Amino acid sequence: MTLTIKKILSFKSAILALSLIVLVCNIFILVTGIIIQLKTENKNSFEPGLQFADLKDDLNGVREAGFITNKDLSSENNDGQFLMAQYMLAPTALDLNATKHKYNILDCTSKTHVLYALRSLNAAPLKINKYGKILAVKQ
Amino acid sequence: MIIIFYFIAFLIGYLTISMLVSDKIKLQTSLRASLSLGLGLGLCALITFLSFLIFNKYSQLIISLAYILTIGFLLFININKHKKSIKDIFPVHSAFKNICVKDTLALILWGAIIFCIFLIAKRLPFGRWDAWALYNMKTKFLLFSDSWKDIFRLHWHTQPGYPLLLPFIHASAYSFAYRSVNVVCFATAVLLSFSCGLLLFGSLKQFTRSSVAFIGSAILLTNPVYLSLSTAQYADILLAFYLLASITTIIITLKTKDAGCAVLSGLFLGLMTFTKNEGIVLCLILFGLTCLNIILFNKGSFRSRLTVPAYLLIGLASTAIFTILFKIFLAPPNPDIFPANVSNANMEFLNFKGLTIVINFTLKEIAYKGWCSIWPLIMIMFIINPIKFFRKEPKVISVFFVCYLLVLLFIYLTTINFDLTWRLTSTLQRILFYLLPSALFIGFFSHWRSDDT
Repeated sequence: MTLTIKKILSFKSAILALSLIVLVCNIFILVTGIIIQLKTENKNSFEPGLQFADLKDDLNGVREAGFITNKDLSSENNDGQFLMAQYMLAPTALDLNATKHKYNILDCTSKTHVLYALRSLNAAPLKINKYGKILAVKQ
Repeated sequence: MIIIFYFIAFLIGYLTISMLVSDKIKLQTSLRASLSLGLGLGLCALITFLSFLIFNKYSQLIISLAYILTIGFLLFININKHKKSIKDIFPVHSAFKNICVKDTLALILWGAIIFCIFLIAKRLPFGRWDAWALYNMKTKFLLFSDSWKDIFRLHWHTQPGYPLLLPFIHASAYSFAYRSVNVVCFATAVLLSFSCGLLLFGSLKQFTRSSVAFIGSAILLTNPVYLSLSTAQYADILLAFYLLASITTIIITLKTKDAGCAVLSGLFLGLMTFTKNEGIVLCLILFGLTCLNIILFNKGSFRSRLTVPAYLLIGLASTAIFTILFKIFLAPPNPDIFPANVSNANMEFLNFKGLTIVINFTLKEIAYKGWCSIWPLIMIMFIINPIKFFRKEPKVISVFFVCYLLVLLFIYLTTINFDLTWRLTSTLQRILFYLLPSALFIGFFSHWRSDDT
């Protein structure tokens, strides 16, 4: 009897009890989360970089292309458009703000910047999609 | 079908373990199965990497042939060198003969867990940011580019210096999948998430009671942050798996002094180095501490004490050689570790202010409700009886954790290219994530090990 009480009141039992409490909390949150997910599930999961998807066919076989942008590209503040474009358009390698390539993706904040970029590149738009992403070719 | 690839990986891992580990060492079935899968996935990825290095392109035929040759070679070694028959290598008959009601219930539970993991993974079918931006994007380069080495010329935002084990696992799986890259990445993430939990179960069952193993692994597999990050298609889940596998096999090696087990530990240590850059640090610390422990605390002549570390080094070299080749000949330098101008770098956080930021952030993260108090539980396990964590085999692992946390602190305090708070926000949760399975293991193992006197 004394041994049983000692066992129940031991540190090991305390840890086991705490573990079971944590486990029960986990299971409760997991089941609740799954139920909410199933009720509110959005069947349309958009692939990252979808806004560049229709430029992919034109870049088929192109090894490298430029990606011209006037946006903030610091690690902390960038909006991810460059990485999304790279993911979607892989295996075409995108060269950030390089002007030497024949094909260039333009992702600018305004039409003024787009015009300036086209002029600097001496390029003409080949395709402009509904997201405002432009594929330009050097003339 | 992708399951064919997972089976091939399992087979390669299983035959390798069968070849290396002595029959005298009884590995729990769940431990052997999970180690086989993890080892097999890693070895398949390395074989695929080798095929890329030799033939400079992706070829489904070459990869398939390489796997067939590997399986044939391993079977040959097992049958001839170890004088085993096929029945001895694959004791399926005896495994099925011993199934009882408890095992059936366990199988049903595992099935339910896999289903839950699948549902959680479906929330983000393309993975989180780093998954598609780094690993899955690089997988596309491996599979579809005429010049796969363009990966190393990409913009530094894509981290071209990151090791490529996960992309090569995806590329290997794609060879058998006849599915899109996204489906392959999704399936692999679900499998790895489950396998890590199974590994924790097997590791705990090897040294403690089944009930303790069940509670430990169930806590992991139902933890919201664990499920969220393990299904995010990051390489962190691979790192978590290999770290736990290394720790488990190292403990078995320390107990048994088995040479084959030491080689197996070395293989897992080496695989860590090709998973993430942090894996190199983890490997070096764990390898160093294990060798020191064997050399300093074992009886016998100095030469005999070098035997197990030598076998550990053989295993480590077998897999880490790929990382060395990758880092020396392929990967560009990492600007975080090798900044352009160190002498002029302003280490504005290498002071008490930086330390305060790190500590505050860490405490906030540990208290984050998504972890469901799992870290406070582990800390309580330690505080209640810290001596148990520094006795016999656990002391190597406990000292490892201390050393690694100090290294992390140093890395954070010497941040120069980023804002420290942003860096902590981006990385700390993931660091805690890949340390979690091993931390849970050492917590339960230290208190409930069956040979505790």
